[in-house]
Amino acid sequence: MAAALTLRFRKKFPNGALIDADLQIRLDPPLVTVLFGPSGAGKTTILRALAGLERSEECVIHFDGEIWADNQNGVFIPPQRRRIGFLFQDYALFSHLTVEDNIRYGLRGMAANEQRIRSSELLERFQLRDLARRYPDQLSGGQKQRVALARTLAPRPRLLLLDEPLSALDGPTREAVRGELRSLLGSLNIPVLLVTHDRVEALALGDGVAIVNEGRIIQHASIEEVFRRPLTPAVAKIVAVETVQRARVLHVDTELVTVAVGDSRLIAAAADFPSGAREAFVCIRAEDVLLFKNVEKVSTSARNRLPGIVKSLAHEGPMWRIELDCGFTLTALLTRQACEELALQPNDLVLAMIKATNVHLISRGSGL
Amino acid sequence: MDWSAIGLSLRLSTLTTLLLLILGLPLASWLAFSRWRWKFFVEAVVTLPLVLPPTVLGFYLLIVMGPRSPIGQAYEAIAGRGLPFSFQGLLIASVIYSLPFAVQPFTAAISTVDRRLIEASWCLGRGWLGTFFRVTLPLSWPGVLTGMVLSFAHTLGEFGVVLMIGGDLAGVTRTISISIFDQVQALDYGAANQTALALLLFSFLVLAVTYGLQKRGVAVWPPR
Repeated sequence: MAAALTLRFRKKFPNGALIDADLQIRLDPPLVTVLFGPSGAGKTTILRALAGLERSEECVIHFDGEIWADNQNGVFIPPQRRRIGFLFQDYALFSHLTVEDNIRYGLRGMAANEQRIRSSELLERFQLRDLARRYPDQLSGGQKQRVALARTLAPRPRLLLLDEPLSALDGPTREAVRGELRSLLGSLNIPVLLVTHDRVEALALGDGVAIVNEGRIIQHASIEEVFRRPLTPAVAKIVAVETVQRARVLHVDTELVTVAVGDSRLIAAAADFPSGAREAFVCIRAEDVLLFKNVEKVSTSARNRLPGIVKSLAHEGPMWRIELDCGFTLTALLTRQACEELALQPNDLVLAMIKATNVHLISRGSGL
Repeated sequence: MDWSAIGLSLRLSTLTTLLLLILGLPLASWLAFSRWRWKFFVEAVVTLPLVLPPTVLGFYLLIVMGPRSPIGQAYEAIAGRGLPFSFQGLLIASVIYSLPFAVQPFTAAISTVDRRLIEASWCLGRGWLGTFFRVTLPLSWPGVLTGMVLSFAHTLGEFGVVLMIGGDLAGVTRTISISIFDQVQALDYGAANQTALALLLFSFLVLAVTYGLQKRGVAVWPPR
């Protein structure tokens, strides 16, 4: 069996919440897996279970051939002996220790001069050399985060668990640190599990993503796969696919599926759409919708051309979010420039183009 | 002035405080972290000496330590003499009498330590004991110091329990408060006043120095 991390964790909380999670992660090559989902879905609990901080009457964890937990056989390896790194949401730095002593905290097993070499390495790598004698209260948010990362990585953990690593930072710092974190995680060569409820963070940092909803993992695949091809409407909602509509299936052949949303027809790539399905959900990401005003100029291979009326325009970061009425509500995302070129106004008539491969279908029942 | 009584009181208070530190810290950590459903029962027992009249406490301690109880008999068999009216008996009684004065501030201080710091220490490979000495104790030490000062001061001033357990044997169980009582009984108000004033000044000094130190200590360690 290839090196893998498997988790089976079930726990009922006194407030009625239930965590019932199954997770398998291949460890080779070491990738960044994002646990993504709304607040309160149980992401952090799953992370804590992996660390050994959360116990349950039903918990089985295997890591690369080792058993970390198996309550059927009464096995429980405490956090101290799992050799993992856990980064807490607000960093949990020891306020009575200097930056350097925080970093050296996990190096107790080493000889004194090795400790010095290792901590010096980390101070250098995280640009903390000048702050080594400071206390955590004298640091900025971004500096604290670097100290926490350095402390977590100092003992060379085999698995890195990050609980909302950027949520304690303010906007501009967060963006800068996100970029640094991405290159750091890529260079570590150890598997990483990262909890976030921020879509930008998930897309920027993850290789794979496990969608957590109401205590369960409802889809686990590559970032690309999950964000483009959600398995269920619930996943589509969590990854914020802008347009999700019910549709009737009109025709299925080997390559294409034709569906009707209200009076509009849409053509989707068949992928592995079940041929017996009568109904489906249509998922269209806003960035995959192209808008045109002058129909003559259009030269695109897009199979779907939907006339529509502009209902509203709104800023969304550097983009404009445009709601269209095409018989159903379709959302498009345009750059400011594209928006200016089209001189879009409410009630304008436009043509929306969508490639068949960008129309994702979720089948509803086999129709039998 | 009754120097032998003052010396005895200081010795008793110091030993009581040290014993309470050794016994009270594990008990306080357990009280702070345990989720045992019957924990409140233990909390009630620990706090009992705070509300019981010293005579009641002293009476039961006397019974338990006495030659008719198994505990008293066991001690006598090992040590060669009984616990009542001995310094050792007085020490045990003082520890129990001052228990809430140590354990309550200890528990309060330990409970305020952020649980995630303790978990972070575990994930960094430190065991339960290492975490306690490197994280929990340094972060709760002002409360621990408060508990020690209160235990010391409380033992220094105890009267009822001492009288019940220790009686009034010069150099063995005659503490400073008993000595003052004796002097008043003998209508020697001058001597009583001298000893009382010495006790008052000493207690004030200990408290002032400790709180002064603590205030400075909090300012530098941990820095805020």
